[in-house]
This record gives sequence, C-alpha cells and structure tokens, in this order.
Amino acid sequence: MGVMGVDLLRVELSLYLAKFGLYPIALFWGQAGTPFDCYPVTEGDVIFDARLVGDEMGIIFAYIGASTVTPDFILLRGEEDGWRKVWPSDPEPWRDLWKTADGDVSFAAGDLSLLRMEGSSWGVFSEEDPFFECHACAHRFFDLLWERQGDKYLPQVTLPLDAPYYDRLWEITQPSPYASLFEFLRRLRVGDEAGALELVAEVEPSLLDQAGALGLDDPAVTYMVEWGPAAEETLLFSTEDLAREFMATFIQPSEGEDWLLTDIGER
Amino acid sequence: MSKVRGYLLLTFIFVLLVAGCTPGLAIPSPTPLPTATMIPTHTPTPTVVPTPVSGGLPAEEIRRISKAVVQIFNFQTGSYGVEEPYSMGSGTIIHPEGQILTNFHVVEDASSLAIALSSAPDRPPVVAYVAEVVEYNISFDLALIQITADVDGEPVNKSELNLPWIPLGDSDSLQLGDALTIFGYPAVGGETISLTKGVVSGFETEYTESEESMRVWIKTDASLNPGNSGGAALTDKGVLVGIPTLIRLDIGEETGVPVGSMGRLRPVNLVDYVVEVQPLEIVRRLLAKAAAFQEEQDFEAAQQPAFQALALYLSLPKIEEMSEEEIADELLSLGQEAGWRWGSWGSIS
Repeated sequence: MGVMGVDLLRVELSLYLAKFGLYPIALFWGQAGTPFDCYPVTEGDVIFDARLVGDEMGIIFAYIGASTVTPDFILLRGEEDGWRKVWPSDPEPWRDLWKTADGDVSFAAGDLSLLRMEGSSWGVFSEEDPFFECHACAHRFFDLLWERQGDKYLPQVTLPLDAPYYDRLWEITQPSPYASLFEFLRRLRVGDEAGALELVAEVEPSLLDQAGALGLDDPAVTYMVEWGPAAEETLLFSTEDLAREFMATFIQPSEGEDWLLTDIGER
Repeated sequence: MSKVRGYLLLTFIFVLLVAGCTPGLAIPSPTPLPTATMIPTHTPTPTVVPTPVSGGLPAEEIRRISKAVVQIFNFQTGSYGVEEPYSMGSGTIIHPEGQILTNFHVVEDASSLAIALSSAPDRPPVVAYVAEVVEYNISFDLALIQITADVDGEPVNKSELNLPWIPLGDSDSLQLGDALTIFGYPAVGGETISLTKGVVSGFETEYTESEESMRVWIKTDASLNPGNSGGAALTDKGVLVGIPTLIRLDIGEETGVPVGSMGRLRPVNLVDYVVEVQPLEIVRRLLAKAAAFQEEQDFEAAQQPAFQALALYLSLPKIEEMSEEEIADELLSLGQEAGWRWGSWGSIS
C-alpha cells in the first residue's frame, strides 16, 4: 500500500498548505520553534494556488482521478480560535453549475472577489443526454465567472435558479458544433421543438422533420461522436452499437455565437 | 488457617528484571523461580482477568523484531581491576544508527557494555558491538545507549550501521486489555530470545508539576523474568510501547512461596524524560508511528501522528530558509526512512 506524495505551498512565512500522503489538505501555521497549529481544510489531492487577503484565504486545489483532474475552490476565514470554512457551505443550490472536470479554477481579479471556472461535461450524466460522454468522447465545455457576494460566490448568469437545469447549463456552455448537436437532439428528445429550432441555421422546420424521420428524437437511443476526417463544421456520429451513422453540418454566424445546424442526415 | 486464607496474606516483593548479579534483591538470580510448580492454579484475583491473546504479530514481523531486540552485557571492573561480566539484560534498537533503549539498572555502573544481536529467533545472540550510555533517567529507570564500536573496539560509523529497529509507539493510547508481546533475553529462557504474551492489566499514574497525569507504569500479566529488563513490549501493530522493568511477586506469608506476579513495564512515552529529544527525531518517530498505522490500513489513526509530524517539522527554524521543493523532498525522505511507502498521485495501490 503506498500513500501519495507531498505537495506543499508556502502561502507566506510560517503559513503553509500541505497535502501529506493521502491525508486531507491541511493548513499549518504558527511561530517557528513551536509546533504549528493545524487545520485540515478539505479532501483533495493537489494544491494549485492560494491567496491570502486580510483574514481570508482562497484555496484552489484539485482532485485527481484515474483519468481526470477536477479543480475546486474553498474560502476560509481566520478567526480567533482558528480557521473556518466559509464557502462552499450547505446548501449551495448554484453549485449545480460548478463544472470543473478537466478544467481550471483561477482567481479572476486581484483579490478574492471573482473566480473563473472552466470545465467539461465529463461526469455530467443525465437520462436526457443524447450522447454517451466517455472520458475520451466529445464533451461540452463550460466557462463561467463566479462573483463574491457576501460569504457566497454566485455565478454570473442571467437565468434564475428556478429555470430548467439544462437551460441554465446551456447558458454557460461554450459554443461548439458538438455542444449545439447535443443540445439540439436533447431538445428534440424532450419534445422542445421550439428550442431545437433555435439551433437550426435558418428557420427551416423541415430539418426537425428530417431528424424526426431518422428517429433522432427517440430518447431511448444514445449516440457517440465519431472522430474522423470531418471538417470543423461537420460532425459524424453513430448509434452506440455503430449500426447507424449520421452526419450533421453547422455554421457559426459570428465569433462567439452558437453554432447552428445546416443539415442532418444518415450516411 | 486455611490454605486459601494463607495465600491471601501476601508480601509484595518488587524484583528488578536484571539477570546475573543483582545485589540487594530477595530473589537470587540467575536461578529462576520454579514458578511452574510453585504457583497454585487458584491464584488471587488479578487486577484484570487475562483474556486469551489471539492474532498478534505475524511471524515475519516477529522475526524482524527479534533482530532489533538485543542482549546487553554489563561489564564492571572487579576487585583486581579486571573487567568482568556483572549482569545482563535486554535492550531495543530504536534507530538504525544504533540507539538502544533499555533500563538504567541494566547499564548502571558499567565500565563497558557489550551488545549481542541475534540473526534468527532460534540462534543465540552474538556479541557484535560495544555501546556507551548517552542519557539516562534514574527515577524512571530508563537509559539510552549508543553503539560506538565493534566487538574489536574499532569505532563504527553510525550512519552505516543500518541496524534493524523498532519504531516507538504511543503508550498513552494503550487501553486496558490491549494485547502485548514481550521480547527479551530472560535467564530462564535459555540462550535464545524469548517471546511471551499478555495483556495490559493496568496502569499507574503520577502527576507532573503542571498537574497533568502521566502513566509511569503499565502492568501486565505477561510472563517476565530476570533478563527481560530493558527489552521490548510491543502492540500488535509492532511498535514499542513498554520496557519490561519489574515484576511484583506476591509471597504467601505462611508458606513464603510466590503465589502470583504482575509484570511492570515503563511506558515508552517516558523516553522523552530521558533525553532531550531533537525535534527532527520526534518528527521521525511520529512518522514511524503513522507508518505503523498505515501498514495496518488504519489511516484514520495514522492521520494524527502524520499531522503532528508535519506541524512540528514546518515549525523548525531551518524551514524558513528552504524552498517549497526542498521541504517537500525532505519530507519525502523522512517519510521513507520512517517506513512510509510513497505511491504516486492518483493511486493508493
């Protein structure tokens, strides 16, 4: 049985964050010559960054899985009797938008007021998903700023918390042909034809009929993107059993906007 | 007076477990007490009813420990100015560089100390080194000795000794009934190392100047005999928790024969009163303690000594001058020396 190594971050003189073996990430502080105090901060495998501002400390760390690194963030506050975890705290309803698999968390301002979160949809599994997103498969990517408000960090989004989860997720999804195809098929499968139409290049209802005729609205079927010699605007995808293969083409009206379907058909 | 009542009238005699010449003691050594025939089966009620010891140390661990428990010969200058063997006892190597923990009375008044090591449990120990007393505490009857030369008197390079050693455990964490395995060289055990088993039968505490209670004795029902002095009492985790020091013999007043005995161990935590332990050494010990728990897959128990080690290490003044990489590297080395088996990120197998 081996235990993991040592990861150490000197936040300032006589204030250290340490990951020691397989034990939690812990904060050590005190006066040299006298054993330091210790506060186990969080589970986690590696320390990325830490920032001390006044009596508060933001710590960016990560969990390391078999194939992925998942960064996370924790805010501590120093009090008379030691350190206390401030964020995240239960309940954190907005945390369903905290998606950092294979991504990054960084300080987006000079203090602790703003965090940037980037991540992929790896591990975000739902029955509504039209695609099987294995780790080596195609993914959606998310990019989101989290702003400090009091003792909380809240995502900079427009949709309210009570909006449907997938709509909120779509708001933070980075534009890509795959993301649009994923969302188009998902909407189709849940009967949201109006929503699916928003992802079609020209208001051409026949593309929805075309997809329906191909059975792409069947929620029981799961697809996989095929990696092959396709142009950026073209995606090949197949059923999981590879029995059927499809092709979708896209355009991006302008930089930063969602990619839109121009055609979809079986090969 | 009934026979049973007669057994209840007892005289207590505390016997130091040193073998050989033990001036002033009521029980002559090395002639052992014929306890097997003299102690009645219906002994007075013990402090704790001994429970059968199951499990215990695995055979491989016992072989390893056997090599780290040494026999100590106390040579003293005789009346003609010639060094003669005066007594013998046991000791435990607690550092690969040849630090041995034992009782003070084992090494008391020695003009020289010879250290015998055993290569296997069925082989008698062979004198291989000479040692010197480094520190001692008479009140707690503990001493730390250091191997300084080989048997020919040639100085040894401590860093090259790389002797088998036993990590120090935490005697304050012992509980009543915990299993103990005793290693040593009792005179009654023949020439080879002896192992006896028992449980923690009780404690005796005293109060420090700061009015904190401190365990000064661990009582055990394990069989101890002269020669066991200074040896090793280990838990099932293979860490040293006690130093066999005394037996208390209960003597029937009418018969004058021993009717029971209770062994006494000095808790290993008292070692800190013997020597001013260097902080880095304490870090090593804490890491060794954590390593012992890790070997048992008891990571919850290992966390505390691991964090204590880190808290102490990071407070060392030299740390301020070191880079993060240097600190991490030294921690890795210290852990490795203490028996940590470092894995890689993302894997604990």
